[in-house]
Amino acid sequence: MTNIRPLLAAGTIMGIGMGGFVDGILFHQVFQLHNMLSANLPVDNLVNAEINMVWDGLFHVLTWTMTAIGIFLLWRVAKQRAVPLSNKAFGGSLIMGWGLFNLVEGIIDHHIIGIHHVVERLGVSIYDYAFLTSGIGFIMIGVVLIRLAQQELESRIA
Amino acid sequence: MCKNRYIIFLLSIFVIYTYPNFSLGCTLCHSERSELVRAYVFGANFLLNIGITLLPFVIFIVIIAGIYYYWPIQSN
Repeated sequence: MTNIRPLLAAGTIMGIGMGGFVDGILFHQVFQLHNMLSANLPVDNLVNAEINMVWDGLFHVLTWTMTAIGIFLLWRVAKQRAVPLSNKAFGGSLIMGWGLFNLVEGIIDHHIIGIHHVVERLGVSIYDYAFLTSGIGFIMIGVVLIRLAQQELESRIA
Repeated sequence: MCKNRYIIFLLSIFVIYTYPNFSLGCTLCHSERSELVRAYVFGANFLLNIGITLLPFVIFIVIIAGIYYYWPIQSN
């Protein structure tokens, strides 16, 4: 029996958290392309910048929490002999988690609610669709890697 | 056990000693601008903004639960 699910859950939630950090650190802070509420509160004065900073902080609290839960789950997995520690499955689940972050956050925040967009000064732009596409691509790569890992584990058992 | 108490004691001293310094050093806390920031952050849209920020993460937790319990396992 190769119950790989706990490893996948740990990797995926860590991937979601780390994908959130990529968005928050690179897009919100380093390149300053958008902030959490920048579509409603344009960052064109210090008050709006500080308000956005507070909500960016809350966003980072949540991505940190996802990563912390992932570490906790991975630690539990490491102590369970029944769960195979496959590099490919773990790497695939990390990538799948990153893709899930881009897809879900992109659909909800960029398109349905519209609280911010990837490049805020452009509004809904090709970059928002590229963000969603990257999410779908990462999920597909992740699923393929996980499937390959599962097949390898199958053949080892057989 | 004794070591833990020692660490908790040191942390308590640290928090008690530094708390007033944090609040005095806080640029957000004592200016006219900070009043505006606080008024917006904790204003009418506070719960809405919390909900908007939390929403994707609630969905992530549901997806993780789905993976944990329902990801197809090939072997039997």
